[in-house]
This record gives sequence, C-alpha cells and structure tokens, in this order.
Amino acid sequence: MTASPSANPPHPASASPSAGALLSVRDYGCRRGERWLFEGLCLALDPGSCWALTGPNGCGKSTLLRSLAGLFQDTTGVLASEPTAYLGHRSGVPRLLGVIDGLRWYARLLGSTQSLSPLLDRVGLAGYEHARPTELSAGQQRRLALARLLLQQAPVWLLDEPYTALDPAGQALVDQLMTQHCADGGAVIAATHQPLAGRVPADQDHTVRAGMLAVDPVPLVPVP
Amino acid sequence: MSADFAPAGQPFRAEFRRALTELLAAPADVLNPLVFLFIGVTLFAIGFAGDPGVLAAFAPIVIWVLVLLSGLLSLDSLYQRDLEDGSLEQFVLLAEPGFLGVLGKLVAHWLVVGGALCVVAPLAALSLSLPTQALWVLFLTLLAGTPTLTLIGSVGAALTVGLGRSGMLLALLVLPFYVPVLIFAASAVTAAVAGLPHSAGLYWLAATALLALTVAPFAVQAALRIGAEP
Repeated sequence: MTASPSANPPHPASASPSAGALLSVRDYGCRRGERWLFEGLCLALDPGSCWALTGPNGCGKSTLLRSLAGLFQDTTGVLASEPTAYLGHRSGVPRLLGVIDGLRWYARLLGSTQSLSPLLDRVGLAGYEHARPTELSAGQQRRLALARLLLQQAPVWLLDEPYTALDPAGQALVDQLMTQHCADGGAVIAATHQPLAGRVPADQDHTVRAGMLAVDPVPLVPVP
Repeated sequence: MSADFAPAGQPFRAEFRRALTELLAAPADVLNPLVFLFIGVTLFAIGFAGDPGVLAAFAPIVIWVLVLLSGLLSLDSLYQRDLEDGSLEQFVLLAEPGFLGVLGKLVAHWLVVGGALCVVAPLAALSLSLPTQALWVLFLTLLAGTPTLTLIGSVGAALTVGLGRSGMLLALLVLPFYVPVLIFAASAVTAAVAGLPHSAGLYWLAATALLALTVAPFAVQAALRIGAEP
C-alpha cells in the first residue's frame, strides 16, 4: 500500500473529511517495518466530543493515540489536526527536576507565561513544588501529568488510560477536567477500561476491535 | 497549527537551563569522566615509571585518547533518562524548532563536562611529564576539540537511546568518528612539544567543530524522533 496522492494537501482544512472537526483522519494507516499496525482508519473528532477508546489489552489503543499525537513517522493517509496534547503512561516531567521546575521547563518549551502554582492547586499537588517526580506516588505522578496537560492548552487531548493509579477524588478530577475541556470547545479521546457514560457528557463508546491490528483494514468510524 | 508560536529561542533556553539544572542534580555525569581521566593517567604514569622520556613522548596521544574515552562516559545518560521519564516524547512533540532545543542541551552539556575536561586534562598531563611549553597548546586543542566530541557523541547517544543499556554500542558507533579529532589534536600537541608550528592542527580542529555544529543538531533531532517511537 502506498500513500494516497492527497497525503500532503496544500490546505489541510480542505482535505479534512469533515469541516470543523478538531482532528480528522481519512484512510489513515501506521506501519512498523513491514507490519501494518492499522490502516484504512477514518474518524472525525468534533469540538465538544469526548470519546472512550475501549478494547482488550494489546488491541492497539495506545498505538492509535501515539500515532494521532504524531509520534510515528511511517504513516499514510490524511491526518489533519489542531494541536494535540498527549498523556502517555509516563508523566513526561523530567525526573531530576523538582515538580515546579519540570513544569517551568514545559512552559519555556511552549513559550507559555501561565503561572504554575494555580495549576498545581488544581490537580491537588500544592505543597509538592520542590519534590522530584520520583519521590511522588504513582497517583501523584498521574496528577502531575494532568498539570502538564492543562499547561499545554491544546484543543485536542489524547489520553492513554487517564484513570490509572488515581484515587476516587483523582478520578473525579479527570472527569471534571474532561467535562470542562469539552464544554470549552475542546475534544478528548481517552483510552480507558472504564466506560465514560455517566462520568462525562457527550460520551460515545468507540470500541477498537482487536482486528484492527490484523491485515484487514477496519474503519473505526466511517465518514459519510 | 498553534495560533501563538513560541519565539524561536524558547526551546534553546528551556533545554539549556534544564540541562544545567540536571547536571547539578546528577554530578556523577560530570565527575565520572574526570575520575576516569585521572585513573587512566595514573595507570600510564605508573606503567611508564622507569622511563619518563618515553612517557613524555607519548603524553599527547595518551591524554587525548583518555579524553575521548572519558567523554563517552557522560554521553550514555544524555537522552536515556529523558526516554525513561517520558519527557523525550513530549520534547519531540512540542519543541519547535526541535534542533534549537537539541543545541541548547548540547551547549550546556559541553560547557560543564567539556569545560571540566579542558581544565583538568592539562593538569593531568603534568603527571605524564608533558613539557610545560605544550600545556597551553594542549588546552587550546581541548577547547577546539571537545565540542566535536560532544556533538558527534550526541548523535550516537540519540541513535542508541531506545536500546537500553547501550554504552558499549555507543562506543563502537562513535569512536571511529573521533579519529580525525585525535589525529589533529595529537599532532598539534606533539608539534608544540618539538617546538614546531602547531596552528594547522588547531585550525583543522576548529573546522571539524564547525562542521559538526552544522550537522549534529539536525541528526540528533531526527534520531530522537525515531528513538521516541516505542
């Protein structure tokens, strides 16, 4: 399979499957070496939508999110997206820096002048400014990653198992943040094993089938 | 893409300051090469104890080979930690332009590790009976040569970042590319010991450093993109 002629359109907006979507892909595929991880994928993520990406372990949820975030080079098809923020399994905050220094590094990298203490308050890490991420518990590291996510102020959130290691209050925080983000016109795709229905409005359950990793292309959401 | 672009210097500053802070927090990255250099020099000094004349003749080569090897010790961890804590994948995704971020980290790394080697290696050379008139030239070759070591080494470190404990592979990958630096530097110092003109070697070292400076940040950026894929 080769890249479609429209892989690099002059105007990404005109090539996107549906106008107004924050993130849209068409005939999207991702390859590692000779193996296709998935292909023929079509989806459009509208403002305010919050998708749960569910499916058994190893079916390709993380790979799909990492690919949509732009971490894979070898892709085909069209991917048009507003800036994305990717929350992976690791916190992403440098482990030799203190919490606040690590976030400041992100702020510098992004050219953001946002003040950082309110962010730590928001995720419940006030008082841990100078702790190193390695000194935090797994749940606190997750909260730190959430602070980083908020700092990015990206319209599209790609969250890989955001509830992992969090206590009930932390899980409620994730719900709150996602709800708020969607209400503000953002969009979320969250790989999770917990159904989002009832937790977050505007939820649609998009199951990634195990067959996605097989040779047969399985369109996730056919675009009309 | 983003509505408000960061000023182009942002990734440089961010990575520069982060690298300085991290080197302070993990001084082993600086101290290990220095200790290695001292031990290496001491071993040679003990081995040649009976014949200081032979030792002095070999001193430029010995000291430079030890500098090459000790520089490798600090490169192993250059991107490994970033990969493990996930900041590497975020750097790859967010730094715009990425090569400036790469450059910021390398400049900080060279200022600290390279700077320490520049100061300590001439002192260590004293115990190898290197004639004092050549010490200044040795310092200059270190000043002009160590940036190339950092730059070339960083490409190797970026290429091997996804491979776990890869110190030996890194050495095999990088050392062949260090050969020109060794030749130019050792020849300049040897010429200075003999009282001959030594500027040609220095100029070649500087030219090599400039070449590495123009290529390495882009190569590192590309290699990190591959390394950040799981």
